Amino acid sequence: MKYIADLHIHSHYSRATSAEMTLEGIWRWAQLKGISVIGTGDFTHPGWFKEITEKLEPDKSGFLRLKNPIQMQHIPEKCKLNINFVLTSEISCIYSKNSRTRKIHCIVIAPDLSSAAKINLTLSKIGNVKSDGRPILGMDAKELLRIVLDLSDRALFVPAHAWTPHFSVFGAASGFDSLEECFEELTPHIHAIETGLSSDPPMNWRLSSLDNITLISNSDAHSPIKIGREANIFDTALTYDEMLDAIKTKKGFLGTIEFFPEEGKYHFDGHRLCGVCLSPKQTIEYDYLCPKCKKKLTIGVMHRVLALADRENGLKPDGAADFKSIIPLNEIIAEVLRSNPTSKKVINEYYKMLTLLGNEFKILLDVPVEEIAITCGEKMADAINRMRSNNIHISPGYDGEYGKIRIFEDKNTNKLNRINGQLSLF
Amino acid sequence: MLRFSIIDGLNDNQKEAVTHTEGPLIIIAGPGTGKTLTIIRRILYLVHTGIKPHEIVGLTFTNRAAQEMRERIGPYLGENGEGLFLGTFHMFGLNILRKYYNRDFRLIEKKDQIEILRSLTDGTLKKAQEQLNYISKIKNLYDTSSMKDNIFLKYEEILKEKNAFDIDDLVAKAMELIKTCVRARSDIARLRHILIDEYQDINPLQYEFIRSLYSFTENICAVGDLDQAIYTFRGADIEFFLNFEKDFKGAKRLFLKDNYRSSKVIVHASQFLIKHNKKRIEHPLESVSHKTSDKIRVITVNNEYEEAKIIVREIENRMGAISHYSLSQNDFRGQWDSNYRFSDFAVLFRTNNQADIIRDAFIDSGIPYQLIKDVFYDEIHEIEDRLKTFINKPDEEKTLSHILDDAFGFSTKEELLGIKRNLLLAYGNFHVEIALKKILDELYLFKSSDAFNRNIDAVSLMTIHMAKGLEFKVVFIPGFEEGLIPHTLANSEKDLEEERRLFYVGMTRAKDELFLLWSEKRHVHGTTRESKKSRFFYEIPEKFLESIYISKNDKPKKKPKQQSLF
Repeated sequence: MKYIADLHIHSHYSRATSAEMTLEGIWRWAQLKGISVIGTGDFTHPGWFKEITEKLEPDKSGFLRLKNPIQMQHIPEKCKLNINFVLTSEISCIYSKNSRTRKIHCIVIAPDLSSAAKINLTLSKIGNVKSDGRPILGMDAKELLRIVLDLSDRALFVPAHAWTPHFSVFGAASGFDSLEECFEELTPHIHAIETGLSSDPPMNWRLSSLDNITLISNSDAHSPIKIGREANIFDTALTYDEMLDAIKTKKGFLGTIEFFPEEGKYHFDGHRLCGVCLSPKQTIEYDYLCPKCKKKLTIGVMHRVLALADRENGLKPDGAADFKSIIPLNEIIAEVLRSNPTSKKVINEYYKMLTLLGNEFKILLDVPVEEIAITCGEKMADAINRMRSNNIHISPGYDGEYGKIRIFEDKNTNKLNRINGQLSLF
Repeated sequence: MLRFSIIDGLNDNQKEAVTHTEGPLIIIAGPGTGKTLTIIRRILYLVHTGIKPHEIVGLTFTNRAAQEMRERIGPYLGENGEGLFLGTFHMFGLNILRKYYNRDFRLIEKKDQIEILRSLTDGTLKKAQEQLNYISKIKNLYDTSSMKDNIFLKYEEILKEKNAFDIDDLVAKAMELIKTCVRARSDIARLRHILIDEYQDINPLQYEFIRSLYSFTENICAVGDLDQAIYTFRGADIEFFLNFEKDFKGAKRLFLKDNYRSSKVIVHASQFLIKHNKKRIEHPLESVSHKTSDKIRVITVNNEYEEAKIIVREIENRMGAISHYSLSQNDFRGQWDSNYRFSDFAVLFRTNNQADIIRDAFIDSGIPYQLIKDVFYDEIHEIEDRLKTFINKPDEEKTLSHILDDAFGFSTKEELLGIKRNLLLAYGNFHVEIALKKILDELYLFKSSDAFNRNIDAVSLMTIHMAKGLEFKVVFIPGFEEGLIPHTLANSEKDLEEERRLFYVGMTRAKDELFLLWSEKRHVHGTTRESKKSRFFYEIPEKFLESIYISKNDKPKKKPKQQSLF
């Protein structure tokens, strides 16, 4: 069956996360979004793991279910969905290799509670897993991979948001130039990378070395509204093993739902505190130094992709999965209503649309525009139609600053041009 | 060919220390001068000149040091190295006793000693503890007159009845055995070379032991540094080091004088400090580092919480942002190229009381740390004991869950309950017997991870005493105040010199950067105390120091000039 999965989120035990990231909160929001398989996040955290073992129970699919789905807040009838939890965690490896400090975030997906418990025991001997749902370990990412492989052959290890400058395997600040440089002889055990918000599949297709890697996408949500801002579409039986198989073989992996990469926080280069945003080409012209403060620029995702690319833009490798780019519904509503994405007005409209049309992904991807027009008005239908046909305007994000999206015409932003846009700046 | 490689890469002092093999020798090895390397090469050299490994004994102060030497020397000697003894005095004594002491003796642990002494005194724990310390002191000081004390005799009698030895007996009884047992004597007579590491820290009992070995061979090589003697409070006596040439006729003295570890600033500043000690052997020490070196930073803070925060922040500044959160909270513009790992940093404090607040700051930051001597060592030990009773007396009725409940039952600590939950989930499917064995292994590792582990990449938090022999790129010494450094308990000139040596050991652990932090106010035994900067500050020339004042609004700024108190 066809279903959507988001395999990277965080609980309220992670730093700077919403208090609503409880199991019940995640369970509810997964339904609002239309996500059948959702990561638990943070299973390495003792407090969260306790909640997981108390509130969830495994079923024969290999996924976990909420034991007592007490509905604290309303879930529209049209959104109701069976939610399958899968044990996931993100681990931050900070270490030195080949004379440079490396900081690599990795997602670990565990097949069952027993495997997760074994991983937890091992990691709690090595480092401090209590401080943060996303623990920092002074450990080589390759060694972490080895530990995970040793403890379970059905676990999955995925480099997280693989291109972001500070904490990723290809990141400019503290990453590597290839998966091999990071994982050496264990590289064949890397079956997938998470593309992150600031890159999309076409950018990753420019590296032939990634042709055999499955490009997955997840939300890395710190608050419920952000769950599913990126996600994966599968067509398999709803079991852990089949889903894992699909990621490893791409069979049954239909593709990803993507952020517009320009909206991501690290798409372009620049300095947030200087208000300087530069394209890769401009950065080279400035010799990698900020024109304002003269310090080294933070090098973004597009720049890194271009630096490591060995292929022209526009070529889709054989077997590559499809993708669809979206704008989170609350952001669309905010623009239609000329309001703030988290305002009361927007949230009310959000629930109204969910009640009338179904979950968010259904609205963004499937519901015919005619139906949206009838229930929610012409402007809303127009906005969603423009998003679906990539007819929008974005000023790119840089150095931690999200890109600014405008669906409707705005003098201050450039029209997105996917044919000969930023991709050809080098 | 081999000879070439043995002295290859050594400086002239080291070469001489390696190749001067005949007669008593004392090698004065300042911090960072390649002491361990020299000892290892010396042993290899001896073997190369035809000495059999089993004719060499290397005595170390800690298991950690012995372990490190064994690991480094092993690949060179291969199977030939089997007879070579490298270990602590205790281990050497135990080996002799196991071989030549007739009956099957047992070793008693501290808690059994306490029980015996309770039965001999008024029954209170306090009294028993006092007496335990007293008896241990008599043994280690080799105080033969106090050995006639009533309590001592009674205690020894009970041990004899029980056919037991305590930890201090291992050296003393082995020494006796060498004197009285012909077989032990003839075995020891094989020895042709004795090496003693950390000679400045030996106590009278160990000295007597070495004397008894000296009657078999004159090739006694003592290695150490008087300036790093920090165990006189445990009965070590620096006079042995000072008197080596008198005690061992014809002894030669050599110096290792090139410091490969620390920056010029750190070497010079620490030399100026230690020269204030009177009881020492003047010797040259030079940094060979070519790196430009930072001054030693002396940071004034308001309170101990601030102190801990500054340490965490300085580490973050060097590592670069450690999380997206800290990235959004701080300005890391331009900080791209760093080459640090967490294990490059250490926080060295004078007393364990300082540890909690510092540890909490690390917990808050998420930075991995290892606090040497963790809190639940004892609890895990007890849990192990309870589990072992189940293994010895299996109860078919009980499931693993019941057994773990019983074993962990007394504990309410969240960490321990977390461990229990994980153990149950991880091994719940195993046969109980197998599960218990696996669980015991897991717990054993939890315990041993409390000791300093080189393989863990984390910031080290430990006392200066524990840091002896270690080195770090960046060292923080908090509590650089009167009362802590030097400690309040240092009353005599002798104690003060030991405190200065201890601080010297702390300073010389640093390779590149050294931070000394002192707090204007500190909580001591529930009251807030105004503190004064350590007197040692004034013993280091100002040109090596940079004073930084952290004001209440948490903005670091440099103070124009530190006014002198004099």
